[in-house]
Amino acid sequence: MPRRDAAGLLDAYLHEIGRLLPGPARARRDVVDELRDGLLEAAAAHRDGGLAPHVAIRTATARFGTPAEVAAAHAPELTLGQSRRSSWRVLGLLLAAGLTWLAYRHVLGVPASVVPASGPRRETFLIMTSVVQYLPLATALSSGGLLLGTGRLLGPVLPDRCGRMLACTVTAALGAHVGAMSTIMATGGAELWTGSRTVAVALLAGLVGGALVESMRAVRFRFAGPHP
Amino acid sequence: MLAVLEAGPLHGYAVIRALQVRSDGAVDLPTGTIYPVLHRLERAGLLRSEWGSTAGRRRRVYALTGGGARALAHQRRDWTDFVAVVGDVLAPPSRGDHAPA
Repeated sequence: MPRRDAAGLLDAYLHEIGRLLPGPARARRDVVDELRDGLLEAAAAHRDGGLAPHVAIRTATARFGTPAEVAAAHAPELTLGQSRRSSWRVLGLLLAAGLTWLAYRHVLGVPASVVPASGPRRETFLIMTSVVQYLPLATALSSGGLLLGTGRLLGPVLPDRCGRMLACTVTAALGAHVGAMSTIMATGGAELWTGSRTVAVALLAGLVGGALVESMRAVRFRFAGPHP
Repeated sequence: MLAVLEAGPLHGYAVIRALQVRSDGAVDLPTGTIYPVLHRLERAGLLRSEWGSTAGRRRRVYALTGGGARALAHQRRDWTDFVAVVGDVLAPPSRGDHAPA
């Protein structure tokens, strides 16, 4: 029974740390697995020193720190790691969207009938087309800033507030991008929805939508911190 | 941490134990809070890590990179210079020493 008590104590301690950690499940699992290995090593040393198994685990966990202390110590690195992964993914998806757009223009072309002939519908379409052309630059610059600010340096270059601001900027720009694309799809001529064009437009929407979801995940982890 | 990894790769808890042994118990931080420092050093490119397994559980092992070895040599040199300078300042005056005019 003491063996089961020891395992139960360890599992409860690690479960609490896992619950408090921010970030995606895989990153949290890595932290918990590494801590489990260390705790079992520490407990083995205490057992060799003559302690009973459950006392050895209790002593090891006490020396590791409270779950709140351990989670708080890991939170900044987990957040930075997620921020970097998200920034790379957003940049990759934007690049893929840009290449898809270039392929669309050069292979399929943009017939004049896609643009509404006149009136507010035409104005809206043209404004949204400009938005879609220039917003990716702002998004890419903000994502690049996040990558530089969380790079190969011992601490983040950017103060946390700036990192949060940039992450929000990326998300807002991508949200506006998705909105503009939706407007273009709603106001464009029927020619926009023919054959291969439909596939290309759907692919573009999927890529930019995917980037938006990824950036929203990054913002959520940035603002979450260790879970209370 | 870089110094204890100089001899070869170690898993996280072995790094912590080596720090405690080398410092004769003076470095005695909450053990679980030392792992994030290893992660920061890895992000800085001074360490690299690999996952393996032992006794049926996952184990992460850290090793010094070339950049880490250079950083260690640099910090060691800086520390030696610092200790030498402070040692000179704090040394008791010898007979030949004169106060400045």
